[in-house]
Amino acid sequence: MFNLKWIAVLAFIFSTVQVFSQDTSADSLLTDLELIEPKQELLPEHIFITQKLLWGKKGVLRTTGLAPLTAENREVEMKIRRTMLKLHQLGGFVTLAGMIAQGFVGAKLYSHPTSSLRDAHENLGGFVNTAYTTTALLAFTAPPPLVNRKGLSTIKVHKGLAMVHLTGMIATNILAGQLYSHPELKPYHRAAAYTTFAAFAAATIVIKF
Amino acid sequence: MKYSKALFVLVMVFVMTSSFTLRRSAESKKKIMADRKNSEISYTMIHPLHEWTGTSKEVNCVMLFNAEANKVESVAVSVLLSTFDSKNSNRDSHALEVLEAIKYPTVKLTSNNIQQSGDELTIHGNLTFHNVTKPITIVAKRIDAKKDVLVEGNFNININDYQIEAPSLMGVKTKDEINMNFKIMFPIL
Repeated sequence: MFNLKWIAVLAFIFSTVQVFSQDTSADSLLTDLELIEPKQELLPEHIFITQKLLWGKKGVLRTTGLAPLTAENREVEMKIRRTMLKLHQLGGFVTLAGMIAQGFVGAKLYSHPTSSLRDAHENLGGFVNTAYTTTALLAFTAPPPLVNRKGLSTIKVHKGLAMVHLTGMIATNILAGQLYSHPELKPYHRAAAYTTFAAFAAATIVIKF
Repeated sequence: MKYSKALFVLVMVFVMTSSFTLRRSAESKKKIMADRKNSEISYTMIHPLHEWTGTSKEVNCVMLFNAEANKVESVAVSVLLSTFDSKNSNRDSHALEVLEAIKYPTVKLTSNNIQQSGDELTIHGNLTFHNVTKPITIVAKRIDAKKDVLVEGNFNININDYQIEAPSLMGVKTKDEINMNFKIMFPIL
């Protein structure tokens, strides 16, 4: 009698376990999926060189322990990135406005050269250079995004144009420094400045969310 | 003694019938993983300047299919947000920031209540997005092929409901409503 009772109890437990092991609810299905789902990577596969030097797996900020690569830190970095890119956008508009003003002053300087116009042109040049450098540094040093896909997109065009206006800015400044001793370089200085402006304006327009 | 024997017999009958029923039920119901090569989910968002679509071809989806009743009994979907590609890396990256994708990396849907009427499926479930779970009803179309079942449809969600702030460009925000489209293929044989 004792054995029969125990066999019955065990059989009952067995059947109950069977009933509960057939859990096929959506939540259980979701748990199955979560087991095979890939995890969110903290850094993209491709990172722009300057960002990599600072924020890459072996970047300066990681190796010095200032910003270890953790999910919590990356969340903060995303907020820093957004702020830096908003300032980059604002800096871009300020620089563009400075370039437009510089275009007017520069054109006037060509037709009616006066010392006050030259001073204004040089001062504006300093302002544009400062705004431009700040804007560029904000983009170059921002924490990297979460994804950075291959293929042509507006951001790739923006970056391509950035290479054009960066080269143009350097050329414009080098030629400007030589104008006192080589005034015949003026047309080249102007051409470099206009090219820079055109590439910069296009880079501003092409970017879209 | 008689009572114990009767109890024993009753329990054994219960065990055997329940085992048999469960085995039959288990045989007719099977978990089927979606065929990722032929499945995709996309969203469409609208900004006053333009409209765009981001698509994920890495859809993790499993359903419980009752072959005997030819019925989908429950379903679970989970998609990593970073797999949505809108062909603009900057935009995708911005979207992931807004969605706090490091903290909440997936969008999930679960349903235990799927009604079938002809080729129309009405899926009553829960959508978890940005760590907010809301009930949702989706009407989908079931298309049966020889070896596969295709489930496709679309639905709208309001990102405000999921405590997501609409991203903006040049100070102008996108519309709060997102249109979701899905096409999921299940190999039933």
